[in-house]
Amino acid sequence: MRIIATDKGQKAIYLAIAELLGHKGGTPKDKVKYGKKCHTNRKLHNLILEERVLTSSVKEELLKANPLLTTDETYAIAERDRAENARGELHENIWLERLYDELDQYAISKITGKIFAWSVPIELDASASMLSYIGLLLGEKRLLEMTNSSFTGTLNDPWKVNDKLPRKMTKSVIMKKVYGSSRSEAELLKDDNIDFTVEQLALLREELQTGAYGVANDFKEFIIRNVKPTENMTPCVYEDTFEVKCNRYRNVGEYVVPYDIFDSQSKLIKRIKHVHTSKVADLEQFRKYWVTGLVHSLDSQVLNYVMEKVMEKYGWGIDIHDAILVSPEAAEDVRNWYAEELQVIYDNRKAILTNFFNSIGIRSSEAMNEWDKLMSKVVPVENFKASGWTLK
Amino acid sequence: MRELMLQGKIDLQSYDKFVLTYGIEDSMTTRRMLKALWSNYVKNGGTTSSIYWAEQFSSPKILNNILSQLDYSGWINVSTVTERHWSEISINEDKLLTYLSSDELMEVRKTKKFKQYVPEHKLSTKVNMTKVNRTYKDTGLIRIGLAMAANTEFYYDCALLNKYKKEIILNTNKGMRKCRELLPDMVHDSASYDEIAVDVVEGLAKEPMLMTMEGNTSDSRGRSIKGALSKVANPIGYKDFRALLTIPE
Repeated sequence: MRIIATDKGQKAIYLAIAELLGHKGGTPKDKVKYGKKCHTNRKLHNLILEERVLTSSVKEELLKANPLLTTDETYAIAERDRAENARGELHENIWLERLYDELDQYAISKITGKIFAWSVPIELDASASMLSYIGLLLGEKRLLEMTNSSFTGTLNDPWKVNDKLPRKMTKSVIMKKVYGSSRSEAELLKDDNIDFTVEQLALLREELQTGAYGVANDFKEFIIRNVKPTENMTPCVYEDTFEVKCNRYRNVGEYVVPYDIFDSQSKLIKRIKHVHTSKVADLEQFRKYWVTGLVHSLDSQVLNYVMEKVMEKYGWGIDIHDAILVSPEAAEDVRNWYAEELQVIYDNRKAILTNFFNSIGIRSSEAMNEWDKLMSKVVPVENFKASGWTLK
Repeated sequence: MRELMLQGKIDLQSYDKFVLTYGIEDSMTTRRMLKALWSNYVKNGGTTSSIYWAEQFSSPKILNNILSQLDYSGWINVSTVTERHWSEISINEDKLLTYLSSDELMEVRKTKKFKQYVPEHKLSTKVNMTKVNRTYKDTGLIRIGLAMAANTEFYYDCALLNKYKKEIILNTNKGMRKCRELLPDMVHDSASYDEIAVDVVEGLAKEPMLMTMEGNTSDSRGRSIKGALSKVANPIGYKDFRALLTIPE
């Protein structure tokens, strides 16, 4: 199952190394160069995995990160959290160490003439796939470019749109909003323990109302407002027609049922009154299902096609929703196959949307005005050619 | 029964007599109930709601006859509290101890739980199963490529796993640690999930073990749910193990 190593796989590993070390922008060539440099220096994340003794210098360091620390207990908690966060990044260092060893062995094999095959897979992860698929369906230039589904020469980070908004903050809010959350921006940030300023909150709101994120959010709102949910539905998404039962329920009342049940201690039958709740399908909540219903169905179909090709040609691969673990040697093919599938979705976007909307009860006669309003915000992409660089 | 229990199983004694007295349906329900009680006991020494089982039997009279019979023979304990409107059933540990010693019983629980959580090498050809409310049905979704990928074989890099074993175990049990902070009274013994997780990681670190993703089913939208997701140290849920993935020769 191991594939013989070539320079093609080596390049894919350099890209993976750069990604693991957080290199986001620049051209693919820059990224390869950075990965190569990191290999030479065996660059790793600087992680202190152990909880340290709380010496004055450790305390000073912790205080810099959080000026609110006062008691020994708060310092101990802060140090524990720091170590836990460091361990959260350990996997990246493990992967890097192993990839550096693979590259060393490949270099040696080139000198000795011995055949070497890659044993460490790399991960190809789709850039903000939700935004990418909405971009494909709407033909939205900005969404396609920010997710590298349409390649402009340099690689973009879909979550870095404003210098005042850290990517973690943008990702936390935009992703959940576009996935259907109705919680406020502030609530979503608090959920993720992300500190924010009033100015940042205003910027996030603005991003959600205007620009590319705004279009994605409006697309979600369009579906939520216009779908005609019923308890059992048969959506049609691209090549799939399948059954879905409402997965949300709400309580509509309570009723009491008496039960006569034996008791071991008294050896008697005792009566208890149990309160049952009556539940019915919550069709209002079910409206929120359909944005992910569309996008996840599409991305699973794309991944299904790609994995079939991966398994047939390379015999090894593991899919993780919108990411793929493959031999480095397979990476270039995987990017090309993924791009081919995105192109098919773009080329058939009108039929895909029409069939999907019809299958979930969205009628053009009723929703036309709203649809036109949404489409008026779309910056149309021209001569679109799907790019595999959307897989980081 | 001792042999059966040493294999981590339990069954209703005198099943045939139950069938003669209560009929096949209620006897089968009794068998299911006993297995559920055993399963809860193995899991965390837990109980099960009598109300659920009251709904499963054909009549309250049969339910109570069976409960009283199992109580009389020492297999179960039923606690029904009128004031709290609550009733629960548990397997009687003293009865289990008449077949196995305390150490053997703990070993059975540990082994059974270990088997439940240790990653395995399982191959599957099913391509059309969708998980719907804990059951599986064909909803029309077919995922040939994702099912093929679920048969991908892999093992973990033992050298690196051993190098960072202490930290990887801490990461593997991070969720449980948080749970225990929130619920300090949560049962903790050598068959607890966190202890089993340590055993699984220790086992994986000893020598390379060939595994797969143990089959593929779809969620309601078509996304993949790999069988191995329920296992400790699977490469999807545990990023350290993803980084340790090794392609076999």
